[in-house]
Amino acid sequence: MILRILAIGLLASGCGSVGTKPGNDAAVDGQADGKQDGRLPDGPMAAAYRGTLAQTQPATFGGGTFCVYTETLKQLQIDLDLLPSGQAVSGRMQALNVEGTDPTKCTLGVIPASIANYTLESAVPDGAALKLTFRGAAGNVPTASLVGKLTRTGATYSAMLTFHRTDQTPPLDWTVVTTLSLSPL
Amino acid sequence: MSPRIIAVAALCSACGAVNNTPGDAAVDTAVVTPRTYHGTVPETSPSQFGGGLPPACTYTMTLRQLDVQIGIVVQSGQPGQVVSGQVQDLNVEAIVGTCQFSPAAPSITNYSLMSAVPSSSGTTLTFQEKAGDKPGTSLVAELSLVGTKYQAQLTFHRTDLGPPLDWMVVVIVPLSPQ
Repeated sequence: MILRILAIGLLASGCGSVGTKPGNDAAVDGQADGKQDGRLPDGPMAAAYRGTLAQTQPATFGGGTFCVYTETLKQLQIDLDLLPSGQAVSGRMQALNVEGTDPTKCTLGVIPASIANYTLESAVPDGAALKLTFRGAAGNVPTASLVGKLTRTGATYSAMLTFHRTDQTPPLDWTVVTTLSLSPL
Repeated sequence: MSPRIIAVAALCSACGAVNNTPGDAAVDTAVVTPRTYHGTVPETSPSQFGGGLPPACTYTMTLRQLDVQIGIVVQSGQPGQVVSGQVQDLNVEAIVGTCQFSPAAPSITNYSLMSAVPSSSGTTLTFQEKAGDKPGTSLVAELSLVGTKYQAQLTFHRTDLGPPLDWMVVVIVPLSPQ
């Protein structure tokens, strides 16, 4: 009889521990969006993709009662951590803002070149593409919004990026649109 | 009957003990994670370089938007262990007086931590410039505790030109926990 009770007790203890112990999978499932470390539970790892561009075409802005200026973005680099599905789990963008003008036509000069850093804020499906929204770093001057459209082209990705100055109104709120090709690192 | 009850109770208590055993979650919380220490400098003092007989020119190098992030594992009673580091800045060259040659265009340089070695005053950090960034520059930092706060003395040295064009910029950056 004692053996029976022992057997029952063993089974009961086993059931109790499985039933009440927080499972690893459950804990991982809480991060199912993969944003903690770019990894889904027992799933694929995010892969790092990078795209660079030496400089964009100059975008003209100003005019009218203002001088005519150009905005050129240099040393562009976009880094995205992408799941095999194409979902972006994290991302960063770097650019160097360089303003220009014709000194023979404008005596006001330009603002100094400045680094602009951005961090991926959201990535939302948009048809077959992914709509990317970035947040500018606190130290960015001038301030600019950055949105992008990420599309897959075979083993690589293409990101069409739109930078738009937000601390000035027209005609001084320049917009720069450029496309970067991303390849796995 | 009582031995049976005791046996069952013993097994049940074992059951409870398993439930109370720290699981993986508890182990996870015991893992020491690095804390990021962050410091910025809007602009360093200009460092003069070049010079000599004409047509040589005298220039200055100023680092702007200097941003330093150091990951340090801090454990009570022990010096912090540096586990990561990132530095970003904007190199801005200028001419002193007049010169027939233009200064180099402003450029971003990024650096990542390569090694951290204990030193007499703290920790010597050696960084590696990101491939493709120009000009070629070395970066060494001396991390130290001043009172209860970390600070880093950074030494940037241009390496792709010889004297007198190999400018050097030294700057102290106070770091704050994030």
